[in-house]
Amino acid sequence: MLKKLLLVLALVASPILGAQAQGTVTVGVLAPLTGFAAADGKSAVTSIKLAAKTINNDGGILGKQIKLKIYDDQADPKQAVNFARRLVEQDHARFVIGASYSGATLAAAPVFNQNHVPMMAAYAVAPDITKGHPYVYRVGLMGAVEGRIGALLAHKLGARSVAMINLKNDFGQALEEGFKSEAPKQQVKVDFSGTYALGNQNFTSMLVRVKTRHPGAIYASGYYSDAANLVRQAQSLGIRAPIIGQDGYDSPKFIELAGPAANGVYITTQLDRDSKQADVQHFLKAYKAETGEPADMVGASGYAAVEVMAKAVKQAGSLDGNAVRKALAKMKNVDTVAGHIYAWNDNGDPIKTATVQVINNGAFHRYMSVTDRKLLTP
Amino acid sequence: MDWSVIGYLGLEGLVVGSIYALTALGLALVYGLLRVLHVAHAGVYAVGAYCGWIAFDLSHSLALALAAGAGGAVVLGVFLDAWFYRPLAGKPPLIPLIGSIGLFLAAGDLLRIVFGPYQHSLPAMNATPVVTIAGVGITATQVFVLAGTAVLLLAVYWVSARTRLGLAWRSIAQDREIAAAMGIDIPRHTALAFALASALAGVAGVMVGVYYNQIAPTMGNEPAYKTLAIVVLGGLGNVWGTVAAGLLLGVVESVSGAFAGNYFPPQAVAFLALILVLLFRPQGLFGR
Repeated sequence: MLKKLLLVLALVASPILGAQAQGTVTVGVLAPLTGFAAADGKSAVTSIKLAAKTINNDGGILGKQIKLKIYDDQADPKQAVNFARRLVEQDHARFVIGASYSGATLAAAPVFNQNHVPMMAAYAVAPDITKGHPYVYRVGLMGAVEGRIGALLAHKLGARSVAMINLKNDFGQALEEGFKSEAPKQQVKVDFSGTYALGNQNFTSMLVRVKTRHPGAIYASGYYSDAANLVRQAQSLGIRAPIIGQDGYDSPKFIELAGPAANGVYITTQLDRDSKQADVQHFLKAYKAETGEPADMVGASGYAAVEVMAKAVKQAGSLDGNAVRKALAKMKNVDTVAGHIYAWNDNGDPIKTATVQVINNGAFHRYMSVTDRKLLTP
Repeated sequence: MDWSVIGYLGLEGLVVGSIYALTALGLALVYGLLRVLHVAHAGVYAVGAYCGWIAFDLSHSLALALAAGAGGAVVLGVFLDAWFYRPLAGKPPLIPLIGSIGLFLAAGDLLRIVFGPYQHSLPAMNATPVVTIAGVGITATQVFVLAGTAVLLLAVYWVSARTRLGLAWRSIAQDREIAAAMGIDIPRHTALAFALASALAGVAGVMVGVYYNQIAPTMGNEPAYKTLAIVVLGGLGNVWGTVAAGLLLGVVESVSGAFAGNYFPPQAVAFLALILVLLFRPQGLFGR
């Protein structure tokens, strides 16, 4: 009888003991792998896997190997909440990388916050993701900050008047607000403001009107597949004003889809391909080796999110959610593949450097680095 | 207001409308014969675009890309007719409709699984202006789409008006039973209609790929709803009404996008038109 009982006990306990013996840390990932945002989800997940591999090869986190648990949230808030619960309740994830769009990340954030599981949002821009959620942090640049950098750049390019073409979603709106708040300080006048819906392919209607205004620059928010059409059509119409985009353009696919029209386009972004930093060069090479394609900003943000969380756990010396959160709040001057983070503000949003890249001969190059802390503070 | 701006908006509207017309025309043809809304037609369009992209990648020939786009689409369209719509014939119309929506979603996901979620470029032609008429610079891609559509529409007109095949289609559309009683082979003629409709959609897919220099697994999403609106506008099953409605939608989107785009996105024009037509003129703008 006793033997039987012991056997049962051993059987019940073995998975628990086994998990401990292996020494793994379950890290949750929410990313859109199907649906309209599938391309970004794939870049992010590929990069997150690379980051986990790099960390595991260096001995893991606190001596434990990272085990990723990845769920496809389809960039859908409903799915994101379901999978967030599953990550917390079933998978017992120690921390989570939010590698999805704003809507989905916004929906998932309260679940992790309530359960004291730290989440690092990679590239979602909605301000409310971090607000009131002490366990939720962000590694990407805030939309409003990026908009301000756009206005600074317009000034640097000598533009007195700017035509704005704004994507009608939270990303486009945050950029527009940031740009418009900074433009007067940079002596830049907004002379035209048009909006378009996500997935729009034809910008000629708006561009023929922009052309009649003769702007000094065009500030166009959006993602690379739409933006490729925008710059291509602007070139067809003979518009010579420089076009300023953002990290939404930051993909080799932009250059492929826009063709020669991509040359001379400026983007405010976070992945500085000309950086000498070791992890940046390692990431660029590893991504290329893994996929055969050059890396993009979304990928870099996913990689950076893992980098930062690994550092925070190391700093905390523990996987306890509260300890990790406190470590993050205290961290200063963190180098990531997606820029240098000076510190996180009280909301958990980063004060971080940005880079302006310009496309020449079909490749992204550094035009300037943005390090003005006042401008960069959310 | 500058006339060259109006001219350009009109021209661009016709180009976009041409593609709408080509895609929706096939849908009208199929509806006329089968009385089902072939939503998967937008999937056939996307698959055609991918076939064209593969052919262009291998051969760098636009002609081969168009042929492959048409060919791939025909194979898929005829397959859907034989293995999907025919077994469902006689079932309530909701059943093939729901199945068709499922097929459309499956086509998009299949493309994503096989070729990845990223967009691909189809750089067969530069979008640089080749000729300027009255201050309006016309690009090679615009000429390509307009000329290609004109040739295809003339061909469809010739088939439907001047051949026995066209006559058979019209008789099936008018009365299926009588047509069958007169010895018209309905399955064969329906298959031929699917072949023509799919070829047009495949060519339209390749044209869109060239025009915007990108194809994506989700490229069928917009045509899926817009072509439905267009066939209703054109008068369900009315082929030439559909062509006119497609061109009209393109021009209205282009002009309204320039002057009211901030308040009323061009993507919504098709929906608004659909609602108004269903309310006030359910037989369609060009229906009898």
